[in-house]
Amino acid sequence: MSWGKIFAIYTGAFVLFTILLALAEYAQLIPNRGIAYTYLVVTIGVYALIGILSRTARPDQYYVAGRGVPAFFNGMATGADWMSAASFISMAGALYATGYDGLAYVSGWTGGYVLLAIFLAPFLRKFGAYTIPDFLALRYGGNAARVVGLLMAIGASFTYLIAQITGVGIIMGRFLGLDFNVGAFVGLAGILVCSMLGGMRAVTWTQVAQYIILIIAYITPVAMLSWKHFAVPLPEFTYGQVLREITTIEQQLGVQKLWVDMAPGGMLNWFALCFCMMVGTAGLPHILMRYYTTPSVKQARDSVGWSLFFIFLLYFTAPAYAAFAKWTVLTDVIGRKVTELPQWVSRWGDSILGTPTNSLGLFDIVDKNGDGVLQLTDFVIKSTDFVVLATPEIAGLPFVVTGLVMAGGLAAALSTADGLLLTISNALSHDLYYKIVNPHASIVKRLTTARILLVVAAVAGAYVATFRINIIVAVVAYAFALAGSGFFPALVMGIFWKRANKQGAIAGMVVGFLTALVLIVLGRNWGIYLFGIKEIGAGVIGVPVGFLVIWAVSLMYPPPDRQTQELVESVRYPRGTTLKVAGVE
Amino acid sequence: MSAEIDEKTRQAYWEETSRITWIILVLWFVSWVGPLVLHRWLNQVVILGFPVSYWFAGQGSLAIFIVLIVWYAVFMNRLDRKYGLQEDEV
Repeated sequence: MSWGKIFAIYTGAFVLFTILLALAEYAQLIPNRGIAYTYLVVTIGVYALIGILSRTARPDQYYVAGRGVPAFFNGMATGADWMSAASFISMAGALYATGYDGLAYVSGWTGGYVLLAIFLAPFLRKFGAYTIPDFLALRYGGNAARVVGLLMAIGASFTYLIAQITGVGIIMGRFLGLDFNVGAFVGLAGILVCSMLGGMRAVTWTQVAQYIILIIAYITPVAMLSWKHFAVPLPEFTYGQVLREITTIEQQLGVQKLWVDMAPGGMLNWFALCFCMMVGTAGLPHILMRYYTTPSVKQARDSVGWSLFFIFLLYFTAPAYAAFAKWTVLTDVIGRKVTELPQWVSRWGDSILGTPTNSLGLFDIVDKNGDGVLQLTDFVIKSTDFVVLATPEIAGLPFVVTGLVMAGGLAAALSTADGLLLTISNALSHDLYYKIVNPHASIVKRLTTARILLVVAAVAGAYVATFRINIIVAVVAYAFALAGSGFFPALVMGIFWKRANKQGAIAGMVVGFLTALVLIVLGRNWGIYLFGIKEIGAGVIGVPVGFLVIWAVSLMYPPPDRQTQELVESVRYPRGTTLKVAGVE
Repeated sequence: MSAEIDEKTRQAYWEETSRITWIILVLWFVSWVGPLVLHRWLNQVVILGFPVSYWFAGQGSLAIFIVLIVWYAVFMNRLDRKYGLQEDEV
């Protein structure tokens, strides 16, 4: 049976399963918590099953899925790999809070794929290694570049991983009432069964399955909300009406900065943030790695298109989510009497009528001037996550849809965690252990080491997540500035400029990374900004610095040897073979 | 190495590749920086309820990104065949 057929049946089965649960809820056969647990057990069970069926003992399967993933499915897998707990649960909320200013994330997290398509993906595929440090090592002659690359890959991926595990813990806490630590370790088990036995092969097909669930879960609630108001289930197009209403209400209320407008003087930082997210996207190793898995250069090119298409489906829906939520709050909550609040408010927030026992405390309803009517400032948001989480209830949908959202959020967090974990353990097992410590290791020994390190990295991630360090969430945003400034220039120059040499690349990676790091530390701790650019957009300075340093330092040292120049030639043309990395099939 | 492909073919191929890369890079930049820089004017224009700059930042630029990537893929896959540099069918 073809992959297409298998996943079509899978999608149908999932929809049917959701409908059956809805019927069970309607007939009052199953309580809310039962629905949530059913989703949890069934979805993680399916992921685990795929993981076990995809087990492998061959290194090319383990590291790059045998380079047999068709463009279409690699696109879906990349979509799931890319869209994290933050994209699924928090992004629409961030848009709710910031309006136009938050759209820098939406453009930024998609525009990076253009850079990936024209500068990196097809060439990395032609190169055909296992990891990103593999490329750096062969192109820039030796282990120094490899070590710099693997340290940056691990640094960026590990902080990102902790944020995903934190996401899993929070989701389980909110929907199942599980203790955070228990939730984190249950999630961890889910991640491990997916990736341990089958490596990249298992992670790829699990991610395809996870993408399907997350996209259904994301679009369904807001589509039904759009159906309710406009009789058209396409929120992406109907929310223009909503924007108009929002602007009208805001003008009536005398709001200074309209939601659809930019904050005054915000243009430079919008640009910096958006640029930084784009270049960071094209520099994150767990995404780059996915383009090693397609069967050909041609399919790698096509696959970037599919990737962005599947990501687009979620991202171009996010602004609609934010708009519908904003509208609901402005019309259903603000201006109402405190005693006449809609029902969803009591489940997701605290109100002055008291905190219901099952409230999740995502916002506070107060009555500052005590007139019994809610003003704009009386709705105090504690977590904008309510935008995605509460939409099913705002739309008056049954609980099963809320359960679906939980399953989607979980799929988003787990799929990203899978990809990150694999990046970390491959950097350790392939780049550090096999390439540096023990180049004579047998295949069995290499794969055993890879699996042990995978478990170690996962447990370490979950352990760190249990400390609930607040800075982690901020650090994830910084990972884009750091990955963009550190990796992107060296990778692009390695392909597009033959003259780039070892000294230049190492200097460029280190200086680019440190520039971004210093700007982040200065901005975060002392509020010192270069050109007024906030630390989250530090990459807008770090990236050009990285390019400049590679250029200048390369010219100070002799050009790379003939063999390296021929390697660069060979990655530029799809036909012909490339230099082989030892131990890479 | 691709010894069977002569230097001239490779050079011509790479020149065309560089050109399309630059073109797409410029269009990419314009597609998201344009609506940003013109924000004050574009947002005054409202189409189907969408202030135009807002629509670009939230949806329009994204659609352009997809078009650019697809264009690049189609162009390059054709270019490979034009110069006989395509991969052997697997």
